Amino acid sequence: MTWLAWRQHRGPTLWALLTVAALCGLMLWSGLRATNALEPFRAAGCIRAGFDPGALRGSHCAGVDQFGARFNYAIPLFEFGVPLLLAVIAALIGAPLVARDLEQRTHLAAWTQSVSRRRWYLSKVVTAAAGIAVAATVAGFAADRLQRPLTEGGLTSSRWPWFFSIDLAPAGEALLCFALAVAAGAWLRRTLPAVGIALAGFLILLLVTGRAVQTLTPTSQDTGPRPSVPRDGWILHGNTYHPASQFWPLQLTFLTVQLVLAGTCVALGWRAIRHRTP
Amino acid sequence: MTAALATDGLGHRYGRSRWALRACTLEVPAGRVVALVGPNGSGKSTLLHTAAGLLAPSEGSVHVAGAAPARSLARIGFVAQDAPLWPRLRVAEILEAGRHLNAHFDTPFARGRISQLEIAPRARVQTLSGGQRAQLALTMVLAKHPDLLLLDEPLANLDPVARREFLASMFAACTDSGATVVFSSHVVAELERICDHLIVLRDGRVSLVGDIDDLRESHRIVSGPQGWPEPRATPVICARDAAGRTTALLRCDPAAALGPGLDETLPTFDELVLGYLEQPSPDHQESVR
Repeated sequence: MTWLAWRQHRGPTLWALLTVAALCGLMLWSGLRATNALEPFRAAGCIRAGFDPGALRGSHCAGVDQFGARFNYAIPLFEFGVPLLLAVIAALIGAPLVARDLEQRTHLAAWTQSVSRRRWYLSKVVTAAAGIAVAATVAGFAADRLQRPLTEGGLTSSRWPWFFSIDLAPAGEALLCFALAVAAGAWLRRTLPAVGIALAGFLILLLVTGRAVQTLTPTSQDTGPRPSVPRDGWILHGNTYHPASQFWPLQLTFLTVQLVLAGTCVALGWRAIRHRTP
Repeated sequence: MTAALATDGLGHRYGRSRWALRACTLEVPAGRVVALVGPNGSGKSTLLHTAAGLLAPSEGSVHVAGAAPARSLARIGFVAQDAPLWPRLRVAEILEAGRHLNAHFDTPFARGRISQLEIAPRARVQTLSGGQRAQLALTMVLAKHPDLLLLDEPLANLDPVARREFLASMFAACTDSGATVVFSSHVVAELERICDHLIVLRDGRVSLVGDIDDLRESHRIVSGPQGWPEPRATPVICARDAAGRTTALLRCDPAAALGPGLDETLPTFDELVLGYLEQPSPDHQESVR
């Protein structure tokens, strides 16, 4: 069954893998450039907790404020680009996974071989999901490699949005969007509307779950005459931040939430397939 | 001996109230080649889909060699209407898919049959003619060596030449495999040569079922003066007037004498099938009386 699933969908899948590989390459290259650009300032001790690039003007650290302008492009391209691109790819793989067969009526051929309908569905979903999870995790760690020097260089005042683009978060997001697309395809029996519904649904769920993770977990606040947020803290805004020690628990919580939602979607898709009349 | 296909009070309902098949009880003995005949919408596809495990019965039961179809998938070969196959796959890849999806798949047999039919293994499915695609789909299920072969309108989109070739090669393949074959069609003329069992469906109900020879023996085409026969006196299936005489298809005891002045003959296969297809529906008969 895995062979047929791969053979049916290998064209788009290869394109998706190439795109993700290019994205990762671009992120690693940008990350290396950012690290190199920071090197002299790091050696001069300009990068330390709570530094304010504006206060450093005129000192030997002058020029670190140029860093922000140089790497500004990385924010739309990677900070927001990674989750969006992965979501689009996941929707484009997930939507036709079941819907294409229903459109072409080839499900009638597939369901009357010696393989049960449940195995047909699960093999397809698990095979594709495994590939998406691996690709998105690689992209997540490449994005993490990129955000470290950018944060050190003080690129933006809020580090929090990176949370959804790095490490395990992209895998959870991509799997959720994929599962939404599979379920929408199974219910609508049409590929294109399923892509649209999956992306719209994904954006809504991402906003809701992201907001929940951000606000339902405790944050720290640094107050005083000269607030100084730890350099490795996850600044939400101003002087409110999630301390670094909370990062992995938060990532795992977020991943779990996405996976539970994705699993629910896969189960809903199975309901449509199980009761599907020919 | 267990019937190759047996249904008992089988019914399937789409939605709340639209019955596509109702109270269908029949038994197909092993080794028969069955013609499943009926007008469009009479439930042919529904019956085949329930037998192939694609549809769950809404009532009653269906058994293939004594087991539920969904549990006997390996023993059933099913080709859906228009023989849908993955259009972008190549012929050889279709057979490869068959090998991967079936524990017992006779790849040498399938390759041999494809080359015998002169279908290029490198050709993509979407470039094949309707006849070639039907043959490929048939090859894919024959290579499972199924006990029961279910073909839904395999002839529907074939031109007359391809239809004749398909029937001949299907008959040869089925005889070789010894499988029980049920195939639906609304083309009656070509079926007689290869079928020995008949099921006629009307409005989701079985109106005739049995071995064709027995069915012919138990029916008569009787022709007499116009106005004959008495509507209620004899089990008339259908009657029509032509050239001052009335010709009717009757169901009767072979030994019974019908009376003087009547010509009686055994019905041909076509006359039998067409008679049942033209039979006024029970609702209509009720309203006439």
